[in-house]
Formats: sequence, C-alpha cells, structure tokens
Amino acid sequence: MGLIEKELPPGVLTTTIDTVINYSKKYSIWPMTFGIACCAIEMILATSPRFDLARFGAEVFRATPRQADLMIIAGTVNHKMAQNVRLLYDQMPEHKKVIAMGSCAISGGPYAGTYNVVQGVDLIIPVDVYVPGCPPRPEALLEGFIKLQELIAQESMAKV
Amino acid sequence: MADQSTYSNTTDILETRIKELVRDIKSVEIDRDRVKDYICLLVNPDDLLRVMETIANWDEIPMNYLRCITGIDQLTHLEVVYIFASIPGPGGLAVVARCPRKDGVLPSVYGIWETADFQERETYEFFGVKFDGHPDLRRLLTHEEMRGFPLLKDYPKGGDPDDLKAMDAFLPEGWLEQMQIEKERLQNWLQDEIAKRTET
Repeated sequence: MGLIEKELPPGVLTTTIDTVINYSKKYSIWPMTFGIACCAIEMILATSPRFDLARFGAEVFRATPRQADLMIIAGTVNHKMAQNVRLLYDQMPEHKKVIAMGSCAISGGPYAGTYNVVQGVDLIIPVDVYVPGCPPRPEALLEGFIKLQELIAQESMAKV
Repeated sequence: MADQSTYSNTTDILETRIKELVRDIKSVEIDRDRVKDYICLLVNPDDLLRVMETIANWDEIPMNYLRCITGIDQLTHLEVVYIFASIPGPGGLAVVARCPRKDGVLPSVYGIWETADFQERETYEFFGVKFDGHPDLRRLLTHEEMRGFPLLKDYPKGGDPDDLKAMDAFLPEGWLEQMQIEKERLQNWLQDEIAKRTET
C-alpha cells in the first residue's frame, strides 16, 4: 500500500473491493420482523434507545423476508412452526444470515427431549451465530451482532 | 369481602340441584373427595348430553360458563373432565365422563356451550377422544401430520419416530442427516477450543 499511495494525490486511499463491500454489508444488516416467543421481548428491547441496535446499522426491521438479510430466531420453534420458519428462510435473498437466540432455539432448552419442539433450530436451517441465555439480555444480542459483523468482515467475493 | 350470606345460599342451591339431578338420572355418582372444594359428578357417556342440558338450564344457578375441558389417562380408561362455573352463583362443579382409551367417543357439547369448540379439539388431539357432533374436529395445536396422541401415557418419550418423520417431511432429502453431522462437528470444535483455552 505504501508504495502506491506515494504516487497518488493526497486524500486518495487504496483498498480492496472485499473490504469496501464487506464494510457496507456489515453496517446495513436488515433483520426480519419475526419473534416467536419470549426472547422476542429482549430482541425488541435491543432496538430501544437504551440499547440502540441502530448504532450497528441494524435498526431497519423489515416486515417481509424478501427485503431482509438476517433472521433472528427468538424463541421456541415447534414442529408446526418449523415449516413456516423454513419457508421464510427460503424466501430471503442471498446473502442471508441466521442468529439463534436463546436456549430453545439453540438446543430445545427447557423443552429438550419433548415431542413437539424442534431440538435446535440448526436442524432446520443453517445458523451462523448462537446467542445463549434464557432469555439473553439485549447486550448479549448486541454481542451476537458484533460477532456476525466480524464473520461478514472475513468473507471474500472470490470464495462465495 | 364478598357477600358471605349470598355465597352460602347459592352453595345450598347447588346442593339441592345436584340432589334433584341424581334423583332424575340414576347413573350419576357424586364424588366429593377427588379434588378439594370441587364436587365431581361421574357420568355415564350415554347420559352425558342429558346431564349437560340439565345443568346448563338450572334455575337461579345455570352453569353458563364452561371453564375447561381436559382429559386424564387412568391407564385402564380415559376420563374427560368438564369444569364449570355459574356467573350468578358458585363454581366448583366438575363433570367426569369415562370412555375407553382407544377410539373413545363422547357426544359433543358444542350445541350447549360454543366455547367447547377449541377445547374439544384440544382434548381430541392430545387424548384421541372423538367428539360426536363437533362441527370441525381437527388438530388444534400440534402438527396436522401427527398421528399419535401425545398425552397418553404410552406415547414414546421424545416423540413417536413415525410422527417426527411425518412432521419433518417438508425438509429436503438428506437434510437432517447433514445437519446432524454439522452439529457434531461444531460440538467437537467447541470441546477442542475449551480444552485449548484451559491449558494456557
């Protein structure tokens, strides 16, 4: 970088396309308006002024899967719900990400080994970030967001 | 504080009405020891509709509020429990109807209390009791493809494999196996990571 920048006029920086695209991607994550159970309350709280998800560029909760890049599974997924979760996931455009929030979405939680609850939403759809807790505090969800941004920053257009 | 005199008065009326009911319909038995503060009427399924129509039209204390319908699996037979309250008078009345565990049929009380709609559907899906005369007897809370009745005591713990297979039919071929492998890979990675960090 140093060698080229000496040849350029002041105020011009060089970078890679990956960095620019990943930078814009990670600060414009649009989650889907989609809460299943009690974890959704904490998810809603994370967008409130006290915790302010908007600091990370993710305040625009979209009401349709076709405009969303991120699905937050906030709650218990039972078998009747699972097919709808899958349907919504399939409707989302690439590049889509999933956060599994709370013990129920991660492994069934208190409903582990029961007949009607999916034993971890990662059996239905691929999950990128797991946020443990029952329910997790909004700070934990924000931490999950930052981890997701770190994941996005590592991506490369050449690989995808 | 509630008006004590009115309450004891309506309780007396309830006792009188129950005495009349037992006199009219011979097969009804009274059980007071089953649940505290509740009077249970054990009813023959054939007389169920007659009993229900009678108690719904009682003078002064009509049982106009069907609180709940639920089932109990007693291993030898099933019991379907109807719990009532009367808006002007006291609550504390339960009607218990017995039916066989497999393919039990009871008359629907939808014609008397419309609130029985969802409650009978729920009792049907969990215990397998068919309600004769119900307008729309489908499963309410569980998956449509489910065939078993999960609150029966012989239902397998963790779900019937056939039911689970039917409920996961929307997933692509081989998806579940692939995801299970991925989950194991993640768990191994996590254990390695924990071991690495505890060493240093």
